[in-house]
Amino acid sequence: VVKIWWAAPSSVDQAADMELLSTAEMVRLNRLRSPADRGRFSTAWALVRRTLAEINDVEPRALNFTRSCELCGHPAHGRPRLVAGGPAFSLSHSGDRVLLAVSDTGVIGADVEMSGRDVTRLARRILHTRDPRCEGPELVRMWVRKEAIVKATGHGLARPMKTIELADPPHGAQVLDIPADDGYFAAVAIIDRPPLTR
Amino acid sequence: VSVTSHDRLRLVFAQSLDIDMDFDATQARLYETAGWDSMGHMRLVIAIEEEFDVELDADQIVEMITFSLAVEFLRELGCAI
Repeated sequence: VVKIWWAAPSSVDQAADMELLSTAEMVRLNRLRSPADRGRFSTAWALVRRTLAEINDVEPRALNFTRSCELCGHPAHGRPRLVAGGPAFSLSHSGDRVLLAVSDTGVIGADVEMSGRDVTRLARRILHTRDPRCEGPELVRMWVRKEAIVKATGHGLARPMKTIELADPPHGAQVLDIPADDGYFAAVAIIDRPPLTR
Repeated sequence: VSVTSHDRLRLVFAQSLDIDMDFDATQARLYETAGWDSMGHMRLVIAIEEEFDVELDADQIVEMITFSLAVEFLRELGCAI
């Protein structure tokens, strides 16, 4: 079962959100220069902490996360997950939207993007030779689906999107478009068994 | 006025990430600098390859998480920067 939560950074109490963040998250927050990025970050991680705390029946600040890479062992660039185990989750933010997707099985990747982003120059990096040709907002939608896939597999930037055929996604990923507010596209990808190597 | 390769790289960063040209290059980092998300990263890779006529390999694309690493990889690819 996949559950979805949304938050809008402009509509939340960011001071209250920041009180939930760990020391490590505050360090990351303080590295962000842009107020908009800071707002998205604090909203996102407060949403993660509140939601997973409720699911696990613990206090939000009691949760510990790891970012160690499951594919190569790097200590910091992996998919974030709970140290103590628990549901898989994926977080994404764009503009004034934060998306949290939680799955009680397998692994999950989520992405949200503003539909008006100009991705024209990225087309040849996004589209597989067998993907349908598209442009404008449909190309953004394609990005969102593939970003969800590479987040689910844990490959992220290491897997060029053009090597992924959307009709035959890697590792049996199921890709679902998520209804989003006007001006945004969102998708999740779910994989029963995550890949073990790059 | 001569434009150095370093200036060209700054311009590429500024235009790709849609940030001011006077950004602090020493602090620029993936997922921390405004605009430098995964989509911004792909814009940046394409723009660097076009501006400097190089091709970054898969490892370089993943590992190019700071401005100084971009400089380092361009040097590895033979650019005088």
